[in-house]
Order: sequence, then structure tokens, then C-alpha cells
Amino acid sequence: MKPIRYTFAFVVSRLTIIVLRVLGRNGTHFPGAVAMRLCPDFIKHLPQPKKLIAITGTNGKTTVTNLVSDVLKNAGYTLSNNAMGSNIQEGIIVTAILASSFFGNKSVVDVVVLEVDERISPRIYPYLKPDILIVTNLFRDSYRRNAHVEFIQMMLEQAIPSHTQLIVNADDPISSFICPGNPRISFSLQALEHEEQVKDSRIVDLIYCPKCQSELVYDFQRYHHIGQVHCQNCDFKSMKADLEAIVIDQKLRVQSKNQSLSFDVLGDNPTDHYNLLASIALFNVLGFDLEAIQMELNKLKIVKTRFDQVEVKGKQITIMMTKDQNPIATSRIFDYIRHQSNRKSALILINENSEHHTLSENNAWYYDTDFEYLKKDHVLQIIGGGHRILDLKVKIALTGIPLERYQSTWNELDTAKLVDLNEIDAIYILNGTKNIPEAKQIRKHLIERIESEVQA
Amino acid sequence: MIVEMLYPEIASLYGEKGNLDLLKLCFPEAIIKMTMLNDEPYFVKHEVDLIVMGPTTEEFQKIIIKRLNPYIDRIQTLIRENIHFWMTGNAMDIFGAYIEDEEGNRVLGLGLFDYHACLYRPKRFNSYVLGKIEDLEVVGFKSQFSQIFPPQTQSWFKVDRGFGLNEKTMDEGIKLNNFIGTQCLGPFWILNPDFTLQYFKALGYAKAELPYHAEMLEAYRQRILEFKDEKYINYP
Repeated sequence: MKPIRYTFAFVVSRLTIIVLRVLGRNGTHFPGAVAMRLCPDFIKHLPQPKKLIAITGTNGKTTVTNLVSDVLKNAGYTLSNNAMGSNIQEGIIVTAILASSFFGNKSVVDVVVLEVDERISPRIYPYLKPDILIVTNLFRDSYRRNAHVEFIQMMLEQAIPSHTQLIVNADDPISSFICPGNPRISFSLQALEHEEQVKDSRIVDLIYCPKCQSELVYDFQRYHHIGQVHCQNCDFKSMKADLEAIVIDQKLRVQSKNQSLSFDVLGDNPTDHYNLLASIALFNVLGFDLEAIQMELNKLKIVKTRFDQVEVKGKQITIMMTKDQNPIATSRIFDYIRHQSNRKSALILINENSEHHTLSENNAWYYDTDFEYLKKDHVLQIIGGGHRILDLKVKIALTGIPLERYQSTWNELDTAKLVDLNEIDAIYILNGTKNIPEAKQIRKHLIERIESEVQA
Repeated sequence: MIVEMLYPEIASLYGEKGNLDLLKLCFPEAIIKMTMLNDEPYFVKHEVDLIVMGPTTEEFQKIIIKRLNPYIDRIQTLIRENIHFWMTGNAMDIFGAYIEDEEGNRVLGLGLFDYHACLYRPKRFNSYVLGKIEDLEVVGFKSQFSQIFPPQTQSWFKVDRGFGLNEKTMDEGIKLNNFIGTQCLGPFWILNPDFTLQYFKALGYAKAELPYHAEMLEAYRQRILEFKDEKYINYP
């Protein structure tokens, strides 16, 4: 029997969701806040879903959540997820409400798929206990909220239930060893014969052996601390993966114990391959026939808020999410751009203005980000838009990028006006999670300019 | 000039490597010794002009204390001899009497100062800092798990906005001879070009301006205005 206060809060929140949706709003956050207000321990009383799959980690959560959910839906499962909402308590509560009966007594869907912010794990997992948890990776993230990897690792260690089946990235020697007592399946992306190692990252979050503090040897360093390591002093080394993959001819060839299959890649970045691999590992754990999901996964693309490319009169415009204030996500995109040397490029970096009315951003993360990757002849313009353009200018100058390449405007929508369309043939718009509409508007302005100014 | 960066591979969280970028630009001839965690510090057997260490994780704080513990006397001598120390974020916790965690467990610090640090994880103390060093306004950010007690008579400067060594004091940092410890991040040198010019002059910098001084000054002025604006008082 659930407490009356919980039932009341549940019904009010459910009605709030309905009203907001009638009004054309998403209703993915506010009803959760209402529930917590009416019943502070609301989450404690939510019914445990029949199958709860959680996805956490610094980067890749949203992409994996979307991939997994799409395949499960196409396979006929009834499902509730927070792909459209927030990955903190409020959004998770709304997802759980939608997965439950009218009075919140029992779960009514086959599967709940939750993207969970690492930071709030202790407020979620003790109550909504995941059957399976995918940990995509762990890197340093927002300094204000997440501090450093060791802290996030500690939070997860304290929160993850001992029975939860983990799916981990064996190429991440930090997150793959989390909760050593839990059952786990791991995946790895093998190094290609001529794959370039990225050893010039400004930050590497694992340098010393977690067992004996000796310096680790990177047998292969894909980027930052992602790769294969071993300790010369003790037996610590990267784990042997259960699922190994290699990319050949735009196909991700996955080798498990008894099967070898090829999947279409999601994109050119190793991060895209890792996201796909994490999803494949999940279906492997769920006992799916991998051949059956091969077709389903091959149909899918990365959700367009993450990577969205169009070409107009030979000019390529790409919107890429860098997750503002996240030095790793931004560095990975800078690394991608430095390798696109066949096109003369312009980068548009815009700030998340949604917080600026109350927050003066700490731009220290610029100094952990690999701006050095932009010191390339094909990167002709770097355009800043928004409130932190003066800080960006300082960082660009200190990086040694000629300031002639930097233009800026306080109004991020005006960045489209600054692109030199005579010279540039690839434009990358780098936005955060909260300014996707602005990025799309900038692209719209750019398309209009190209249509009117560029000869076919 | 000889600069020693103590444990930059683990003790330069929150963008503090930016300080090194500026230092290298300003002192291209300087010898910069990067001491790794398992190395003997360079200052033990050699003369240095400046020792720099930034914020690290709470586990590495403990390991660093162990690594530096054999050299307490030498550090004390260097402080007495007016060697410059620049310690930011929770690096200054290490030099106090002890660090106490949330469960009351204490790890002895180097004991060079009589303050102690308390950890309150998962609570994060975030703050803007606006203060004055002599007549010069300075800005910084704080993002930390620890607070320092009790307030120090040797504090570095008074904070007008934000908080000092802990939330109940406006006295920020520690200054003893040329040892400066501050919880302020930013990186502080880049955020405060006029202060840094003075500081670097004390280290032998001879030019009238820093490289990209005008650009840094423009950003500094914008930040001063923002930090004085009522809507930015809280840094959630």
C-alpha cells in the first residue's frame, strides 16, 4: 500500500503532464518538480519497472539512450524513456510516472530506459534500481557541479546496487573498473593498423596506476585516457573485452564469443563507434539475436541534435554539440575538425545564454580544452558569439592562433554574418545542450546567405 | 629564472594549466621543471625562484602530502628565504595542519600553517570572488569541496563579493613572505592581468605589458562589471 501523500502527488503530477501536453508543452521537467514538492520522498515510492535500463557516463548518454530506445520500440516493446526530457531527478520522475499505472501502483511498460546524470546517481539508484547500467565513459566535466572524475567515480560506487549488471567500455580504464563486485560485460574498439594515436591532449585523467601509483604505460592511446594501459610495477591493466570491434570500410565489425557481425557506422568519430558498441553490448546482454538487431541498428542515425550536416551549393554546414563547459567533448570535436583538412573551415562557437541572466560563466574549461588543434591552415575563421567572446579571444591569443582569424559578436545570431563565404567551404556551428534553437537559426541565416551570395 | 611546477599532471585541475601557458609566454627563457608525482622535487637539491601547484583530487592530496612530507624543513627554509610559492585551489589545504573528511577522519598536512581544511562532499562550494589587493581589484572563481578554518591573520586579501577561506569569512588566501595560497581559480593570472604584471615584475619580468595584455584587460573589465552586478551575486 502506497502512502496517500505519494498517491496524491502522483495523480496531480500525471494531470499536470496531461495539461502541459494539451497546451503543446513537453512537460518533461515541471511535473517532476511538482511531485517532489508535494511528496519529498516521492521517488522512494515509485514502482520498480519490470526492466530498468540506465545509461550514465560523461559523454554519449543521450545518443545511446536514443539508439537503445529506438531498437526496443521497433522490436515491439512498450517503453518509457527520458530521451526528450531532463536526465536529473525531475525528468526521471516524469518518465517513471508515464511508465506507471494511473495511481502509481505498478509499472505498466515492458522496459524503462533512463539517461541518468552521473551526479544524481545517489538520489536515483537506491530507489529505482537498474537491472542493467551502461557506463559509457568517465571524464572531467562541469567544474562547478562535477568537480573531477574521482568524485564522480565515488558517487557512482556508492550508488550502484550490487546486483546491477554493468556494461562498460574496456578502453576506458577508469569507468570499466567501477564497482568491482558487480557482474559486467565490456566492449572495446580495436586499434586500426594505421590509427593515429592522440597523445597531445591537454588533459589525461588517468596517469598513475590506481593500485600502486606507478606511472601507467599506454599501449595504445586513442585520446585522453581512452585506450589500453598496463602498469609496469603491478598486475593492473586494461580489461580484456567481451565484445571486440574494429572499423573497416565504414562498417563496425563486432566479434563476440560465438558471432561476428558488421554494423553500419554512425559517424566518423571513435565516440560514434563507442556509442554503437555500447548499444550492441546491451542487446547482447538482453539475449537478443544480434543478427535480428543488425538491420534495426543499420537503419538508425545519430539524433540530429548531436550531429546535423547539410550541404548548400557546395558549402557544408555542420551543427555539432560540444556540451558547453565540457573540455573533453569540445576537444573531441576540435580533433575532428583538424582532420577535415580538405575543406577551408570556419568555426562558430556560441555560448549558452540561457544561464547568463543569473550566471557569469567560469571559462577555466577553455584552458583544459585542446584549442591547439585549431592551429591548422585550413581553419581560416573562428567566430565567437555570446557573452564570453572576450574570454574566448584571450584563449585564442594565448593558444598562438593569429587573432586575425578571430571575429566575434555579442549577439550569437549575428555570427552567420561574419562567415567569409568567398573563402570558406565548411562551417561548423558548435553549440551546447541549451542553445540548439540558436544553432539552427544561425544555420538558417547561413543557408539564406549562401543561396543569395554564392554562385551555383 | 627557474620555475618548478609541482605535479602538473595531477595538480592542475579546473583549467589551472592556463597559468603555465601565460608564464611560458612571459618568460620564454625560464627553465621550467615539471616534477611528476614519483620524482623527487627539484627544490630539494636546487635553487628555484618560483614553485607552483594547483588543485588536485582529494585522494591525490593525501599522496602529495606523503611525497612532500620528507621535505617540510626545506619548504620552511624556502618560505623564510622569500622564494615565491603560488598555490591555488585546494593545494593550500596540503600546507595546513590537517584535512578532515566528512566522517571526521583526519590526514595530517605538512603543518606549515596552523589552519586546517574540512571536506563536505558532495556539497560543492562555488563562488565568484571580487576583492582588492592594495588598490587593485581582483576577480576569481571558487569551486571546491573544502573550506579552511580558522580565518588567518596572514590572509592575502579581503573579499568584497563571494567568500574567503570559508563561507563565514571575507579573508581570502594566505600570504607569508612570498608564499601565496589562494582558493581562487580562473586561472587567476589570466583573469587579472594588472595584478599578474606586478607579480611577474617581482619575478624579473621587464616589459611594460604582458603579451595580449589589452585582450586580457578587456575581459577583466567585463568580469568586474558582472561581479558587481546584483544579478550575479550567487554562483549556484
